[in-house]
Amino acid sequence: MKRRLISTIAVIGAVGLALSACSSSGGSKSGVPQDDKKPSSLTMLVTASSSEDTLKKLATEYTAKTGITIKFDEAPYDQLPTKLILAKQSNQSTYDMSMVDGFTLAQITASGALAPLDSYLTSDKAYDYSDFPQGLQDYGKVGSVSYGLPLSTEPYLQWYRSDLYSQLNLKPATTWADAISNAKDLQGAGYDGYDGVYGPAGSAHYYNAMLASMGGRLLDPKTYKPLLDSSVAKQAMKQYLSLKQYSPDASSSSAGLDAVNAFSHQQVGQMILASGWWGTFADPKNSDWAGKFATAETPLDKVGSYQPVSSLYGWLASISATSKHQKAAWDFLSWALGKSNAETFVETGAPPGRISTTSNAEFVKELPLLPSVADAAKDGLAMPRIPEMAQIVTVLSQDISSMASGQLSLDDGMVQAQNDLLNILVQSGRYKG
Amino acid sequence: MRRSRVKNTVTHAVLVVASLLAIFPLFWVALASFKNNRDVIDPVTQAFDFVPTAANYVSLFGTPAFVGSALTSVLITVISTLVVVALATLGGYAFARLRFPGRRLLALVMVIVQIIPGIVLIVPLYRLVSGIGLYDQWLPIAVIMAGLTLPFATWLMLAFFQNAPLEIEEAALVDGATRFQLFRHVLIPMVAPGMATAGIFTAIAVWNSFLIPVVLGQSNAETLTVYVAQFVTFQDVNWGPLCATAVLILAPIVLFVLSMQRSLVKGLTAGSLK
Amino acid sequence: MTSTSTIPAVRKHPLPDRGATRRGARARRARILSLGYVTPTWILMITVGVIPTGYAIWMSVTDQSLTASSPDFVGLGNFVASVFTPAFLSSLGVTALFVVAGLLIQFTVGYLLAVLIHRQLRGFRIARTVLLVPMLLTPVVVGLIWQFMLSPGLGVITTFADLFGWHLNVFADPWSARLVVVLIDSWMFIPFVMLMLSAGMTALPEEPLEAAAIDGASWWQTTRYIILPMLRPVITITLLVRCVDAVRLFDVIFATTKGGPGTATQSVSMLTYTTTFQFYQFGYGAAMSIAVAVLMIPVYFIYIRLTRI
Repeated sequence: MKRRLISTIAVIGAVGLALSACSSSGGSKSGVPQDDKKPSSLTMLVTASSSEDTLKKLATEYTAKTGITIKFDEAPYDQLPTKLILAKQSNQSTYDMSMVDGFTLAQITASGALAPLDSYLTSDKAYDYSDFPQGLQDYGKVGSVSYGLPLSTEPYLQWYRSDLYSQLNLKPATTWADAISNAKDLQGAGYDGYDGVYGPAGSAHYYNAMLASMGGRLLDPKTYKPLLDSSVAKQAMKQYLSLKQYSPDASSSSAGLDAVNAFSHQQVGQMILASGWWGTFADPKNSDWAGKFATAETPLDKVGSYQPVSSLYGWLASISATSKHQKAAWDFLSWALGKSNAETFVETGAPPGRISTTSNAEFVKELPLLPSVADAAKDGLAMPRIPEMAQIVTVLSQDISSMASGQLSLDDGMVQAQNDLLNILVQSGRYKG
Repeated sequence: MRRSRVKNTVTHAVLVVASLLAIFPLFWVALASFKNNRDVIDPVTQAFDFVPTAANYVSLFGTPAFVGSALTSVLITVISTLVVVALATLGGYAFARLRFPGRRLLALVMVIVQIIPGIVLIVPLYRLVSGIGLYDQWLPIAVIMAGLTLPFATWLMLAFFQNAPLEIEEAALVDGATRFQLFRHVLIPMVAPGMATAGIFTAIAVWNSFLIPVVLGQSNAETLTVYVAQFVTFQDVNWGPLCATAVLILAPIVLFVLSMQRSLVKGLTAGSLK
Repeated sequence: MTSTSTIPAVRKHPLPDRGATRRGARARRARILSLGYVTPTWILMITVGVIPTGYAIWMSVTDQSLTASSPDFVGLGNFVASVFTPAFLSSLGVTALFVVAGLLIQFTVGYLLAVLIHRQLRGFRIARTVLLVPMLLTPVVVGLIWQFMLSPGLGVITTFADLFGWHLNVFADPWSARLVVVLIDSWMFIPFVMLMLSAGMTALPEEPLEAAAIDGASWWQTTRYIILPMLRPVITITLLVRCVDAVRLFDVIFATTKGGPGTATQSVSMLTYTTTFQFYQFGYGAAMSIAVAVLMIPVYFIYIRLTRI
């Protein structure tokens, strides 16, 4: 029997090798033949967000105008890149367009799933690409090629409950020391003083926001050397973990959306979060505190050697490389994200950061966080555009979660995190140390 | 006498507690499925203080994505179950009664398919399926699920055929029955409980499968299990609709199995364990 | 992945084919014809099992990633880079823990319930029906339901624990998170163990038990020296099936802890999934999954041994 098992395995292996000869010839084809006729419908991959809500609203209008139906295929946030990449690898035109989170852009383009947009951008005058600050144009690029149109521009902001702050006589923090003292006062009054994210999925973003605001960076911008062995990285981590004592219980295993839920339904005094959640918090259907919250800039401290800045996140709208209707997809996206629809996006709280939008006094009155969007669009810090970023975020989040749950001490955790990042970057050949 | 009464009381008490533990989560989910999004996150102390609403169900049936994935799930489950029961009956008969070439090799391959972790197969299957242009369609999912559940069903049928008396079969052959007649009039009635058991186990496994559909059916061929996982969205965990979907996923399989529970228990007892 | 894969304890040898009793060409022809019964099975096994496994082996020795369009042969490089790493070994430990703890709990509780059911008191059929329900449920949904019931501040279990001053935050602590995963898995599959064992008990001969009763053997002695040894084939099969499924455990973790806190509940299947479908390191993922398949070789042998097909 043993010999039979071994020979079976050998046969299976041989079949595999034979197959490899066939399958490797079917490598990646570039360029899908374009169907120039007007399509009856286009499909867009989206995930729940105010960007999705706004696009759906505009799509109805677009259908009435052009007769082209826009179908929306909704996916969970963390499966968005997977769906795009699998669709591309199977060479099927499942999606014509997609929402793409900025920090996953490089990974998705590495698979060849997205179409470059530069020729459209230079030829389409109505879209007016120069209306976006350079920082925001770079946000949608990998290398020097544009793959994404700004859909929402979301700097990390300080959110606080204005009703609690006026009741306790607090002021929004300008430094992290203020933020901690506010957290103490809030907790003393029986509220949650802060809401950090400490779970194994995504906590790295929140730590990264704190690190950047203290003048530190995850990676060296030029050589991509991990910088978690720096003293500012450690100090930022210590501070980040110390805020856990002011956070709701559930935060110890939370992801970003748990923090959003806590802020909208529980008594959370302050937190750091991307600006795109304005629409959620301002909607009384989703939040108990609509009208009782406000935003301010992220607290900034000059600790590290880099400029302390706020972090820049946000959705991009991209066109699938496998779509047969790329021109039609461009027409829809450039119309939806054009100047004429800026107001619709302002109403739902997360507009693309056009200069003409953020400088419009009427819009600013409606959406007071627009000046912060304008600042961040100019000099906010986006995650490096390298394909390894998704892996770095996952692994670093796990390390943070290990430290927050007491499985690793701060010292050991920082050493492990630095080694994990080094491993990833050396293995991929990104950092040649 | 008194001791045995105490023993009976204890037995009853333990079984009641265990049954409550087994059923409580379902009850809780069913309860939550009739609450609106507000009531569902109220403190538990007010769990029964709500106005029941069917809104979650109504809106689910108005959602094309839900209806589509429900149809996909039903289709995949029915097709693979039928295929598996048919092939397992043939295969089980062959393993029990015939000495065909490659018998041990086939058994070995089937055991490997049965034991190997699905994660080994998933990427190759994905590449093969997309290679032939069938990515995101229900057919390959049904075929793959049928293949993965076939070994178990075959062993089950093998046991049933082994326990079926050989004499009736031989008498039928002596009377000049064809192979088809033999199956139709003699064998299938004899192993019907086994086919029911195999069908039940296959249906459960296929209906509940997640890893294969989540990779192979992204949009057109999305199953209910994949659909429900989406309720945990970036924006909000919608517990009300989530619970309603959970009820609608769980109800069909629970009702199906309970209605056939007799043959399940009988099948296991009679077939596989002697 | 599939929770219901089992294999019957078949002990009889196949009966001789009718054709074999007569000699010569007719027998050979009958044998060839009999292949017709298993041809569809062969086709399905080759497409769903043999080819993908071979493909996976090939992937595990080539440099497969998102960008490598024509992969190169790298020998055992993937195994060196992904299998012999602290991350993989720790996930192997997590999986081993899930298997051992899960089997212990499921066997103990499942056996006791089977004994109680087997007493066949009034209403035992209803109890058996109700107890059956958890094993029918969809693992992803079960994970979500338990997460709902266990979430701090919102869940029914946490609120109940609060009444006793017990502040539950199960997903925050590595050991309680691991325990919760094991308990959810056990909640689902104790019914399976119970069902199999009680079916086995029904098939037991009466005489040894009666003899033991006459000799005045205690409950424990009867269990230890008579029932358990007689049930051994059923027990082995049941535990083997559960072991195979526990190694595959994915859905529940995916729906509850996502491997956290840190990597405390990151099982091998979870790590392989992440490596493959989040990092798109197909070669590493294949190497890890092949390593698991190889580690399970003893299980194949026991299976084949037990079934004697």
